[in-house]
Amino acid sequence: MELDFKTLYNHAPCGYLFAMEDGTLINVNDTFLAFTGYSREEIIENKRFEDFLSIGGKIYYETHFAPILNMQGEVSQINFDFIRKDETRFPVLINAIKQSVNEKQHNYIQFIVLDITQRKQYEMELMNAKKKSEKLLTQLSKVNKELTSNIQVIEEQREQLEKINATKDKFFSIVAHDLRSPLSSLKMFSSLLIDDFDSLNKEGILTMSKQLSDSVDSTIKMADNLITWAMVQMGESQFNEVTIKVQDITSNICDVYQDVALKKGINLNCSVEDSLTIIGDKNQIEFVIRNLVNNAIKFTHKNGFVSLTAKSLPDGLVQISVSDSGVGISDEYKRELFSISKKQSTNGTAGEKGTGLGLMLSYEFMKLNGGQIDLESSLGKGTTFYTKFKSGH
Amino acid sequence: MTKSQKKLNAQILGEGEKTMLFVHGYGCDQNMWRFITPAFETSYKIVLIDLVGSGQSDLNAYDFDKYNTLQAHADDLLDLIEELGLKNVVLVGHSVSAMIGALASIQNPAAFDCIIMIGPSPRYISDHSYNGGFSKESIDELVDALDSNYLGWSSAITPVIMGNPERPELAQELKNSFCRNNPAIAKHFARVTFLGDNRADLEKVTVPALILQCSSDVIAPLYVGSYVQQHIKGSQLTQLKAKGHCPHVSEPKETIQSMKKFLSAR
Repeated sequence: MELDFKTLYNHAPCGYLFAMEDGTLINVNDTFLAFTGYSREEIIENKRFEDFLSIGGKIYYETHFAPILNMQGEVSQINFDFIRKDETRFPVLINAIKQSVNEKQHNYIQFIVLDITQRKQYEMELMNAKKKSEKLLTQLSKVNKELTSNIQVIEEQREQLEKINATKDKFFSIVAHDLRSPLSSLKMFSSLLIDDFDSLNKEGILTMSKQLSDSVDSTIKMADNLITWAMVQMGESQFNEVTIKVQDITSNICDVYQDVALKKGINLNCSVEDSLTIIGDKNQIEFVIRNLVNNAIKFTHKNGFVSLTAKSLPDGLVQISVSDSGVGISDEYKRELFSISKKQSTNGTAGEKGTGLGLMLSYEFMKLNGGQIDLESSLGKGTTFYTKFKSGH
Repeated sequence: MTKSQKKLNAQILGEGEKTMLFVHGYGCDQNMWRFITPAFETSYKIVLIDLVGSGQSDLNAYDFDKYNTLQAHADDLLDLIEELGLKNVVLVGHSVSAMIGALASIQNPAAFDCIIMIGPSPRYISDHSYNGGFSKESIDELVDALDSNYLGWSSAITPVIMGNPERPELAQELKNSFCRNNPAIAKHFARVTFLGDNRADLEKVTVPALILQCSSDVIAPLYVGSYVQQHIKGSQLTQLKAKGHCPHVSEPKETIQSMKKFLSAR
């Protein structure tokens, strides 16, 4: 069978279009006529390539396709929707080349048009699947984010639990050690009193009774501290914010501790300006300052000094400081001073017993009052505790 | 190299006291001007740029919120003009950049000698009293067309430059750069371009303006060209024989001639 080029052209398995440079069609093959439903007369010199495109396709043609074709002489694999005579649409793939026929450079454009209806459907399915997987990916990353934040919450809860556990340990340690020792001495003195009652004179009984009474006092103090501390831990402490004259707090404390200091041979010096006021809970602040003065005396040797001063700072806060010429605190110990991890109390220079709770409670109270507590200390030379409060002015 | 020069991939060639600043339209980049610039290189300093988000511009600078209006692009042009110390600028803007150029000239008329607007349109969507040529739906179709072609855009359609004796200026470098734009930016810029409305800005233009109008341009039809001419005071409209939307690419000779005629009469 002899095949001529005309038959090959007209019955090619793709649409063929020839257009002048401005897009006006000058020749099309039968396949293209079958694609679009137009007659040859309706197309030749009456239609331009763009006329088969949807309006959006036309913009794409003018802004992308035509400039590239002009600049590069060739464009390939561009997908358009073609519009048939009956206005139905079908997807096509276009390759185009711009060529000149002769020396006069009459350029023409040659297009091939492939009907890709089925392939387009497949592509749409792929696109949909892609969009769906992108959506799932977004969801996944959202879930992932939620998980991460849940882990964070769990981590925070774990830390809280650890803290509570440490509180519990501390509690047991206090009960086991600090609370038991005054009770033991109580038991010892009371046993002595009973066993040796007959052999003791009046003075002996009085001395014993005084020792008994001291032990009871320190046990009560310990119990009070424990209760206060437990209440703070459980968030049940009363908080009464008022404006307080600093002197109302300090003069009271100075009066009480003047005797104690004197007995130990320590010079306690209090100097506070009359006009200073602060804001906070009076009982709590009193506890803090009393505790600091008590500690200062406790850890200072005979002939040393303790001074309680207060002044207003340039940043508007009021600072109450307690300095001593005592034993000082090692750097290593400083870090643990306010924390629950400090397991036991330290005895004073004259063997004074403590509860191991004072500084920790002070720290908690300072937090509740929006204040700060800090210290400077050098071993063998002394310590200064600084507390800062909101000013009452 | 100044900040804006880098951001807009600005290329400077030619010599002259006056400057011609060429700004490409939607969908392409500065390579579009290859057939035009040689005709002006001897008498003008030529500055070519890629709008932020197009061509070889700094794509990271394309902030989708900022570039929601054409004004942001106009501001970029003014920054460049200031940084390079350009004076008496002849701004040649194609398509959407004809409007971007107009906005820049409104902001700082003193920097410009005149503007040449190729296929301008202040509003693409039609309403009851204005025939812009498009409906809102057709812009969605365009975005669909971008969607179904950008796959090929990124890898498969490496345009092979065929042996093209008539056009030796088409260098190999074009192969990977010409009209290749980031798909997400291209879609966004399409919406900013085709859904915008700058009709009210036309009468604020005070610098001399030339409008080059193609015949049978589907994007900027004749009606729109005359609308622009009527609303820019003292502007001049030249009707080209060139068909389509890119006369500077399809009919560079005719385009150059019309530009020169306008410039020499000034």
